[in-house]
Amino acid sequence: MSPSSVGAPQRILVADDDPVVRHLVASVVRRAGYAPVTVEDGREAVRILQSDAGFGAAIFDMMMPHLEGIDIIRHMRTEKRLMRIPVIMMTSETELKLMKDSFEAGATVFLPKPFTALQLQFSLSMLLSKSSRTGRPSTKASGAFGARTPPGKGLA
Amino acid sequence: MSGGVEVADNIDHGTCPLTRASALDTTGEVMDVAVFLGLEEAQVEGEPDLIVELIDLYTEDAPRRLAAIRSAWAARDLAALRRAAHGLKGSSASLGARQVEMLCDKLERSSGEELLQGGEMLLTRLERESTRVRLVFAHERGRRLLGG
Repeated sequence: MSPSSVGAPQRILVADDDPVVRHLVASVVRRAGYAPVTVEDGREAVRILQSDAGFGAAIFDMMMPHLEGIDIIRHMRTEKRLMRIPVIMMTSETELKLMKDSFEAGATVFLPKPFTALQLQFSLSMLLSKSSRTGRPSTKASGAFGARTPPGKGLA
Repeated sequence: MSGGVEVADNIDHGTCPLTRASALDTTGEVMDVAVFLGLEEAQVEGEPDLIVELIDLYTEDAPRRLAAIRSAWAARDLAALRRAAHGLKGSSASLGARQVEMLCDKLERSSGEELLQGGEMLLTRLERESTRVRLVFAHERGRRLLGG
Protein backbone atom coordinates (compact mmCIF):
# COMPACT_ATOMS: atom_id res chain seq x y z
CA MET A 1 0.00 0.00 0.00
CA SER A 2 1.40 3.38 -0.92
CA PRO A 3 1.67 5.99 1.82
CA SER A 4 -1.19 8.04 0.37
CA SER A 5 -3.42 5.33 -1.05
CA VAL A 6 -6.04 5.83 1.65
CA GLY A 7 -6.23 9.61 1.39
CA ALA A 8 -3.88 12.15 2.90
CA PRO A 9 -0.33 10.94 3.39
CA GLN A 10 0.53 9.67 6.83
CA ARG A 11 2.25 12.24 9.00
CA ILE A 12 5.68 11.64 10.47
CA LEU A 13 6.89 13.62 13.48
CA VAL A 14 10.55 14.63 13.06
CA ALA A 15 12.46 16.11 16.01
CA ASP A 16 16.07 17.25 15.67
CA ASP A 17 17.71 20.45 16.85
CA ASP A 18 20.11 20.36 13.91
CA PRO A 19 18.54 22.34 11.03
CA VAL A 20 20.62 20.52 8.43
CA VAL A 21 19.60 17.04 9.53
CA ARG A 22 16.02 18.13 10.16
CA HIS A 23 15.67 19.49 6.64
CA LEU A 24 17.34 16.44 5.16
CA VAL A 25 15.15 13.98 7.03
CA ALA A 26 12.04 15.95 6.12
CA SER A 27 13.02 15.74 2.46
CA VAL A 28 13.52 11.97 2.66
CA VAL A 29 10.14 11.63 4.37
CA ARG A 30 8.42 13.67 1.65
CA ARG A 31 10.20 11.73 -1.07
CA ALA A 32 8.93 8.52 0.53
CA GLY A 33 5.39 9.87 0.20
CA TYR A 34 4.73 10.86 3.79
CA ALA A 35 4.12 14.26 5.36
CA PRO A 36 6.79 15.43 7.82
CA VAL A 37 5.94 17.57 10.83
CA THR A 38 9.21 19.02 12.10
CA VAL A 39 10.14 20.37 15.51
CA GLU A 40 13.41 21.67 16.90
CA ASP A 41 13.62 19.97 20.26
CA GLY A 42 12.22 17.27 22.48
CA ARG A 43 9.99 19.52 24.52
CA GLU A 44 8.22 20.73 21.39
CA ALA A 45 7.78 17.13 20.25
CA VAL A 46 6.10 16.20 23.52
CA ARG A 47 3.91 19.31 23.37
CA ILE A 48 2.63 18.28 19.94
CA LEU A 49 2.13 14.66 20.99
CA GLN A 50 0.03 15.77 23.95
CA SER A 51 -2.60 17.19 21.62
CA ASP A 52 -2.07 15.08 18.53
CA ALA A 53 -1.46 11.34 18.52
CA GLY A 54 -2.24 10.91 14.84
CA PHE A 55 1.26 10.25 13.58
CA GLY A 56 2.17 7.22 11.55
CA ALA A 57 5.67 7.22 12.98
CA ALA A 58 8.18 9.47 14.73
CA ILE A 59 11.86 10.12 14.07
CA PHE A 60 13.87 11.54 16.98
CA ASP A 61 17.44 12.61 17.42
CA MET A 62 18.89 11.11 20.57
CA MET A 63 20.57 14.25 21.89
CA MET A 64 18.37 17.35 21.85
CA PRO A 65 17.94 20.40 24.09
CA HIS A 66 15.43 20.26 26.96
CA LEU A 67 14.37 16.65 26.43
CA GLU A 68 16.35 13.90 24.77
CA GLY A 69 14.93 11.45 22.27
CA ILE A 70 15.09 8.52 24.64
CA ASP A 71 13.08 10.43 27.25
CA ILE A 72 10.35 11.21 24.72
CA ILE A 73 10.10 7.52 23.88
CA ARG A 74 9.84 6.58 27.55
CA HIS A 75 7.04 9.12 27.90
CA MET A 76 5.27 7.80 24.79
CA ARG A 77 5.40 4.23 26.04
CA THR A 78 3.56 5.20 29.19
CA GLU A 79 0.62 6.78 27.37
CA LYS A 80 -1.86 4.45 25.76
CA ARG A 81 -2.68 6.73 22.84
CA LEU A 82 1.01 7.18 21.98
CA MET A 83 2.14 3.59 22.49
CA ARG A 84 1.14 2.58 18.99
CA ILE A 85 3.49 5.10 17.28
CA PRO A 86 6.70 3.44 16.13
CA VAL A 87 9.84 5.50 16.71
CA ILE A 88 13.08 5.68 14.76
CA MET A 89 15.96 6.86 16.89
CA MET A 90 18.80 8.68 15.14
CA THR A 91 22.17 9.37 16.66
CA SER A 92 25.71 10.24 15.67
CA GLU A 93 26.95 8.23 18.63
CA THR A 94 28.33 4.79 17.91
CA GLU A 95 28.20 3.17 21.33
CA LEU A 96 26.27 -0.09 21.31
CA LYS A 97 24.97 0.69 24.77
CA LEU A 98 22.96 3.56 23.32
CA MET A 99 21.27 1.17 20.91
CA LYS A 100 20.46 -1.17 23.78
CA ASP A 101 19.14 1.72 25.88
CA SER A 102 17.01 2.94 22.97
CA PHE A 103 15.38 -0.43 22.43
CA GLU A 104 14.80 -0.86 26.15
CA ALA A 105 13.09 2.54 26.20
CA GLY A 106 10.83 1.45 23.36
CA ALA A 107 12.49 2.58 20.13
CA THR A 108 11.53 0.53 17.10
CA VAL A 109 14.49 1.28 14.84
CA PHE A 110 17.95 2.56 15.72
CA LEU A 111 19.59 4.53 12.93
CA PRO A 112 23.21 5.62 13.40
CA LYS A 113 24.27 8.75 11.52
CA PRO A 114 25.31 9.04 8.79
CA PHE A 115 22.61 6.95 7.13
CA THR A 116 21.41 6.87 3.56
CA ALA A 117 18.08 8.04 2.22
CA LEU A 118 17.28 4.47 1.28
CA GLN A 119 17.92 3.23 4.81
CA LEU A 120 15.52 5.78 6.23
CA GLN A 121 12.94 5.17 3.51
CA PHE A 122 13.19 1.43 4.09
CA SER A 123 12.74 1.87 7.82
CA LEU A 124 9.66 4.02 7.31
CA SER A 125 8.06 1.74 4.76
CA MET A 126 8.75 -1.29 6.94
CA LEU A 127 7.15 0.32 9.98
CA LEU A 128 4.21 1.81 8.16
CA SER A 129 3.40 -1.13 5.91
CA LYS A 130 3.36 -3.28 9.01
CA SER A 131 0.94 -0.89 10.60
CA SER A 132 -1.25 -0.85 7.51
CA ARG A 133 -1.50 -4.65 7.56
CA THR A 134 -2.27 -4.98 11.23
CA GLY A 135 -3.94 -1.64 11.86
CA ARG A 136 -1.50 -1.15 14.69
CA PRO A 137 2.12 -0.18 14.14
CA SER A 138 4.64 -2.40 15.81
CA THR A 139 6.35 -0.91 18.82
CA LYS A 140 8.67 -3.87 19.12
CA ALA A 141 12.20 -3.57 17.80
CA SER A 142 11.64 -4.82 14.31
CA GLY A 143 14.66 -3.47 12.57
CA ALA A 144 17.94 -1.81 13.30
CA PHE A 145 21.06 -0.67 11.59
CA GLY A 146 23.28 -1.57 14.44
CA ALA A 147 26.53 -0.77 12.71
CA ARG A 148 27.70 2.62 11.61
CA THR A 149 27.19 3.20 7.91
CA PRO A 150 30.42 2.51 6.03
CA PRO A 151 32.36 5.64 5.09
CA GLY A 152 31.21 7.07 1.85
CA LYS A 153 27.71 5.72 2.08
CA GLY A 154 26.08 7.96 4.61
CA LEU A 155 23.49 10.63 4.23
CA ALA A 156 22.50 12.05 7.57
CA MET B 1 48.33 18.50 9.37
CA SER B 2 47.10 15.54 7.40
CA GLY B 3 47.93 14.72 3.83
CA GLY B 4 44.33 15.26 2.84
CA VAL B 5 44.41 18.81 4.06
CA GLU B 6 47.63 19.51 2.19
CA VAL B 7 46.05 18.24 -1.01
CA ALA B 8 43.03 20.46 -0.39
CA ASP B 9 45.28 23.50 -0.59
CA ASN B 10 45.94 22.72 -4.23
CA ILE B 11 42.33 22.37 -5.27
CA ASP B 12 40.82 25.00 -7.51
CA HIS B 13 37.49 25.26 -5.74
CA GLY B 14 36.24 27.75 -8.29
CA THR B 15 36.15 25.37 -11.21
CA CYS B 16 36.02 21.94 -9.65
CA PRO B 17 32.51 20.49 -9.18
CA LEU B 18 31.84 17.93 -6.48
CA THR B 19 31.66 14.88 -8.67
CA ARG B 20 33.04 11.42 -8.10
CA ALA B 21 35.45 11.91 -10.96
CA SER B 22 36.61 15.31 -9.79
CA ALA B 23 39.89 16.20 -8.22
CA LEU B 24 38.04 16.75 -4.96
CA ASP B 25 38.01 13.01 -4.53
CA THR B 26 41.68 13.40 -3.76
CA THR B 27 40.94 15.61 -0.77
CA GLY B 28 39.97 12.41 1.02
CA GLU B 29 39.75 13.46 4.61
CA VAL B 30 38.44 16.97 3.93
CA MET B 31 35.26 15.89 2.15
CA ASP B 32 33.59 12.55 1.70
CA VAL B 33 32.34 13.16 -1.80
CA ALA B 34 30.24 9.98 -1.86
CA VAL B 35 28.33 11.10 1.22
CA PHE B 36 27.82 14.53 -0.29
CA LEU B 37 26.58 13.19 -3.61
CA GLY B 38 24.39 10.68 -1.78
CA LEU B 39 22.31 13.65 -0.64
CA GLU B 40 20.81 13.73 -4.10
CA GLU B 41 18.95 10.52 -3.19
CA ALA B 42 16.81 12.66 -0.93
CA GLN B 43 15.91 15.24 -3.59
CA VAL B 44 12.18 15.51 -4.10
CA GLU B 45 11.21 16.00 -7.73
CA GLY B 46 9.93 19.49 -8.48
CA GLU B 47 11.31 20.99 -5.27
CA PRO B 48 14.28 23.40 -5.04
CA ASP B 49 17.78 21.91 -5.13
CA LEU B 50 18.08 20.14 -1.77
CA ILE B 51 21.87 20.32 -1.73
CA VAL B 52 21.80 24.09 -2.17
CA GLU B 53 19.30 24.36 0.68
CA LEU B 54 21.43 22.14 2.91
CA ILE B 55 24.56 24.13 2.09
CA ASP B 56 22.71 27.34 3.01
CA LEU B 57 21.56 25.87 6.32
CA TYR B 58 25.03 24.57 7.14
CA THR B 59 26.71 27.83 6.16
CA GLU B 60 24.38 29.68 8.51
CA ASP B 61 24.51 27.16 11.35
CA ALA B 62 28.15 26.06 11.46
CA PRO B 63 29.65 29.46 12.36
CA ARG B 64 27.17 29.76 15.22
CA ARG B 65 28.18 26.36 16.54
CA LEU B 66 31.87 27.14 16.08
CA ALA B 67 31.40 30.36 18.04
CA ALA B 68 29.70 28.36 20.80
CA ILE B 69 32.65 25.97 20.89
CA ARG B 70 35.13 28.86 21.01
CA SER B 71 33.13 30.61 23.71
CA ALA B 72 32.89 27.44 25.81
CA TRP B 73 36.62 26.92 25.42
CA ALA B 74 37.37 30.48 26.51
CA ALA B 75 35.31 29.86 29.64
CA ARG B 76 36.86 26.40 30.04
CA ASP B 77 33.33 25.04 30.16
CA LEU B 78 34.14 21.59 28.86
CA ALA B 79 30.59 20.26 29.10
CA ALA B 80 29.30 23.11 26.92
CA LEU B 81 32.22 22.61 24.57
CA ARG B 82 31.39 18.93 24.13
CA ARG B 83 27.70 19.67 23.54
CA ALA B 84 28.51 22.25 20.88
CA ALA B 85 31.06 19.97 19.25
CA HIS B 86 28.49 17.18 19.16
CA GLY B 87 26.06 19.45 17.35
CA LEU B 88 28.54 20.48 14.68
CA LYS B 89 29.63 16.87 14.28
CA GLY B 90 26.16 15.72 13.27
CA SER B 91 25.55 18.28 10.54
CA SER B 92 29.11 17.95 9.22
CA ALA B 93 28.81 14.17 8.99
CA SER B 94 25.51 14.56 7.16
CA LEU B 95 27.11 16.66 4.44
CA GLY B 96 30.30 14.63 4.16
CA ALA B 97 32.54 17.18 5.86
CA ARG B 98 34.64 14.39 7.21
CA GLN B 99 37.58 16.32 8.64
CA VAL B 100 35.32 18.68 10.57
CA GLU B 101 33.32 15.70 11.81
CA MET B 102 36.49 13.97 13.03
CA LEU B 103 37.83 17.04 14.80
CA CYS B 104 34.48 17.58 16.51
CA ASP B 105 34.45 13.96 17.56
CA LYS B 106 37.91 14.37 19.02
CA LEU B 107 36.86 17.48 20.93
CA GLU B 108 33.78 15.69 22.20
CA ARG B 109 35.58 12.57 23.33
CA SER B 110 38.80 14.02 24.75
CA SER B 111 39.27 13.94 28.48
CA GLY B 112 39.46 17.17 30.40
CA GLU B 113 43.19 16.81 30.74
CA GLU B 114 43.62 16.16 27.02
CA LEU B 115 41.53 19.19 26.22
CA LEU B 116 43.43 21.43 28.55
CA GLN B 117 46.66 20.33 26.92
CA GLY B 118 45.65 20.26 23.26
CA GLY B 119 42.29 21.97 23.07
CA GLU B 120 43.55 25.21 21.52
CA MET B 121 45.33 23.37 18.73
CA LEU B 122 42.30 21.20 18.02
CA LEU B 123 40.02 24.18 17.96
CA THR B 124 42.30 26.11 15.61
CA ARG B 125 42.37 23.13 13.24
CA LEU B 126 38.61 22.84 13.46
CA GLU B 127 38.13 26.49 12.55
CA ARG B 128 40.51 26.18 9.62
CA GLU B 129 38.85 23.02 8.31
CA SER B 130 35.43 24.53 8.71
CA THR B 131 36.48 27.52 6.62
CA ARG B 132 37.75 25.19 3.89
CA VAL B 133 34.54 23.19 3.87
CA ARG B 134 32.46 26.32 3.59
CA LEU B 135 34.63 27.46 0.70
CA VAL B 136 34.02 24.17 -1.12
CA PHE B 137 30.31 24.46 -0.40
CA ALA B 138 30.16 28.05 -1.61
CA HIS B 139 31.61 27.10 -4.96
CA GLU B 140 29.43 24.02 -5.26
CA ARG B 141 26.40 26.15 -4.47
CA GLY B 142 27.33 28.63 -7.17
CA ARG B 143 27.93 25.88 -9.68
CA ARG B 144 24.54 24.33 -8.99
CA LEU B 145 22.67 27.60 -9.20
CA LEU B 146 24.35 28.36 -12.50
CA GLY B 147 23.48 24.89 -13.71
CA GLY B 148 27.12 24.00 -14.28
